[in-house]
Parts: sequence; C-alpha cells; structure tokens
Amino acid sequence: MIQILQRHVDEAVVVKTRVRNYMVRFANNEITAFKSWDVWLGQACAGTCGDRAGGRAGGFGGVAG
Amino acid sequence: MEELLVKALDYGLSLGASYVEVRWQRDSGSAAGLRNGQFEFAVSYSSQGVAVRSVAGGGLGFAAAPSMKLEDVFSAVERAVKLAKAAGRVRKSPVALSGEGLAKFSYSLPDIPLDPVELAKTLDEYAAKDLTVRRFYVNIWTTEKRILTSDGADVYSKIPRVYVFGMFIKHEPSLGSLQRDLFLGGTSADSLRGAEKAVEEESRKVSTLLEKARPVSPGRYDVVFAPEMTGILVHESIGHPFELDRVYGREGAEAGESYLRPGNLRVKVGSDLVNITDYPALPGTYGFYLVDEEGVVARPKQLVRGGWATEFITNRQYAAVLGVHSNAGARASAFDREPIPRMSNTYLEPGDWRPEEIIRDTRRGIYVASYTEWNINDTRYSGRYGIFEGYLIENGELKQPIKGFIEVDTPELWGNVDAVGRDFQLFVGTCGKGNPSQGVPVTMGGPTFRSRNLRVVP
Repeated sequence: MIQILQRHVDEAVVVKTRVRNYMVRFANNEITAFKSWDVWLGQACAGTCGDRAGGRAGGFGGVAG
Repeated sequence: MEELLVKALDYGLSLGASYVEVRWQRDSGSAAGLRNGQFEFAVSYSSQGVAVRSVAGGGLGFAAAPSMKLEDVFSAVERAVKLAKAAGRVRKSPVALSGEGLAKFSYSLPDIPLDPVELAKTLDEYAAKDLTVRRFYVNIWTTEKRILTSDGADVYSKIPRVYVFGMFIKHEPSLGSLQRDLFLGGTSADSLRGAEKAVEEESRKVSTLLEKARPVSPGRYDVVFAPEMTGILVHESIGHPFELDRVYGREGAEAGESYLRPGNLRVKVGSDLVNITDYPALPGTYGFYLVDEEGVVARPKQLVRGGWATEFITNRQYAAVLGVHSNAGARASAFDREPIPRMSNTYLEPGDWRPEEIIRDTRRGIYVASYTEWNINDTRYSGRYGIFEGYLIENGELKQPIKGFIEVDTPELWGNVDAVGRDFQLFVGTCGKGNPSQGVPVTMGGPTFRSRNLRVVP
C-alpha cells in the first residue's frame, strides 16, 4: 500500500491494527458465555460486513427489534 | 479447509474440551445505494474466518479468528477452551447441550444473477417522483458455511440472498412528514417478483396519506390487521419472547427479556384461533436454512397452538435446560458471532375467513394495512405500533384514511382474536439481537386477522 501511495502523495501512513475483544456475559448472577474475537481494523468491515450489508448498521433499514 | 477444521476440532478435544464446534463462514457480495435517482455508492465485500465454540470444565467458550491460518485458528481454539474453563469455575451448574441426531449434509442454492446497481436503478424508475426522499439500498450476497462438531455434525451450506430496502419520505411544511420503509428479498431472484408493483404502489401512498389521513378519535376499536401488520406483531410479541435465552435472562442487558417466565412457560397467550409457527425451511424465503449452526435439522417450531404457548425457539444449550431436543434455532450472522436462538420465518397460521369477509363483518373498527414506527417494551408484553396505512371501518365498509397508534398488551392482542383469514403473505426483515450485534435475515407474516376492542390513539 505504501508503494502505491508513494506515487501520489507527499506523506502517507498505513496502519494495520489487530484488536482482540473479550466479552463475558452474566445472567442471573451466572456466566452464560465467555467469548473472544479478533478484528483487523485495516479491514474494518471484514467482521461486520454481513451485518452492515443486511441492514443491521449504517442506517440501511429497519432491524426488527 | 476440511483438514484445517478437523485439526481444530481434534486440538480442542486434546485441550480437555468435552464438546468442540468449528464453523467456517464466508459472506461475500456486492451492494449499492441510490438516492433520488442519483448513484450514491457501490461496494463489493468478502469476510471469512473460523468460529470455535467449546464446552470445557462446565463452562461455554467462544472464540473466532478472522483468518484461515492454522496458527490463528489454533489460537482461537485455545481461547475458546480456556474461556470455557474459566467460566465453568464460577458457574453454579455446568453447561450441558441437548443430545441430538446431527446432520451430515451438504446443500447449495443457485446464485442470484442480479446486479445491485441495475436493480436499484430499475426499481427507482417505478418510485413516485414527487417524494422528498426516495432511496434504495440493494445487497446481493452469498453465505457459505462449513460446520463440524465433535459429536458428529458435518454440514456445508451455500445460500445466496438478495435484499432491497426502499425508503420513501414526503415532507410538506404545512402537513409534516411521512415515511414508508419497504423491505423485499429472498434466496432467489424469483423472490423479487412483483417488486416493481410494490415500489410503485407503496411510494405513491406516501403523499396521498400525508395529505388525506386524519388523526383517529381515541378509543377502543375492533382492529383488522393486514398480513404486514400480522408479521410485525407475530415477530415482536411472540417470536422474540419465545426465544429461550431471553426467557432465561441471557439477553437481559441487551435485546431484553420475556413475559414468559422460567417454570411457567406453557401459558395461554391467545384465543383458540391463534396458531403461530416459525419454520426455516420454506423455499425461497429470506429466512431460509435447512440446518442450524449446531448441526440440527430445521423443522417447524409450533410456538403457539390453540392460543397456548407450546414450543420455544432454542439452541442445544437451552434445550438441555428444559430437557427437550433443540428445534434448530441456533443462528450466527457472521464467522465472529456466537450462535444464539433466533427466528427464521415466523407467521400466524391461516384460518378460514376471506379477508373481505372480516371487514364486512366489522361494524365499527379500523383496518390497518401497514406500519411506520413501532415501540415494544423489554419483555414484549406491551407494544405501540404507528399506522402508515389505515382506514376506518363503518358498517363493514372501508372509509376515510386515518393515522394514529395501536397500543396493546400481548395477551389482549392475541386473546381478543375472533377471525383469522385464509390469505397468507410473508414480509422481509432483518432481526436484531445479541452483543456484539447480530442482524439475521428473517420473514414475518401470515393472514389478515381481527382482534376485538383494542386501544387506538391519535
């Protein structure tokens, strides 16, 4: 990506970040699930494109409760 | 890929898990948007990765890797087992899964040969041009999954879907604004049959209703609901509260809970005429699937029979809590999402009235064809549904258009049902639930029906 940008800009920064999420969920004072998932922020929509495309995010239409 | 998934499964068992589930999922497609006839955007996308769920040490763990590399998938396996054991150490009772005869099965649906930009442009030609905003969003994508479980499931599926969202807004300073949202779609190009007509008719209603609909006089009316209303009512007041993870409080801090309580599930929620089903395997539907994310084969879930709550939407974890078999309700929206109990195609079963007979039989009432906004409470006991297209009924005839809201409690809504039509139609939706959020494709609908003496306000 830097090589591509070099020909067109004076300055460029390319950042690729991997974020690891952890979530523990409780119900009635009991752990129901403990989960973890990784997201490449360099591919910001990679993990959620299905949701976004299906209308879950971004305002594209009506999630039914 | 098969070798990778088998290695992941074996690795999880070697780490001490009593159950391991490995799911590869790829979602790829293209989407486009149009606003007032102008091209807004087009995008193609692909996401894939591997999800791992394990039961170990009495707990349940989930981890996902956005990668097909062995070391990344093994890292996810290690985390899933480690987190399961950590959860198990502080649980009062160990997590168990229902025993099932699991699927070994592969199925694929044909691709959908449509282009989202062209489809959006075609539909826009049919939309009313006097609107303040007319917007189309089209998404066409394919979901592929390969699911292996340590107790025998091995399922490959390939399901393409098309989704159309049309937004029509009319603003007149002296009258205010009115918005109509239209959702169309399915798992084949045929599912869009009639889309042009729907766009033409619904978009034209916006200006007409903004101008002509008058606030309803507050009071109690016999309300005749058209199939689109049936859909949202079934989805919100029966589908969601019948999800067992909600009943047992797991979604309490997120999507909400349920008016059904553990230990008191099989209650009367409607009149004898009310039969409500959720069935994933309806061909062509947006909510279609044959096997769920845990390898359980789909079948009709008989949520309500003769007004009684008889079955609940469940996965293997909550089926075990009740001591029953899973009814294949486990769905995940993406590779990095955990499978949880979800709806698919949820509907009121048809009765024997002709829709026009129900209207003719109503002396003083309201016919509601479609809705705008809606609000529902956390347990789905109460709901408020804004009327987009509605008419007064006087002596069996439709009169002037009205606007207002139906405010109703679930037992009243379904308990007062005295006429169910023989017509039937399903409507497309994206059902939201979970944290991190999961929007899954569903349909909702059924026949026209009447519920007596409901509260309607302007």
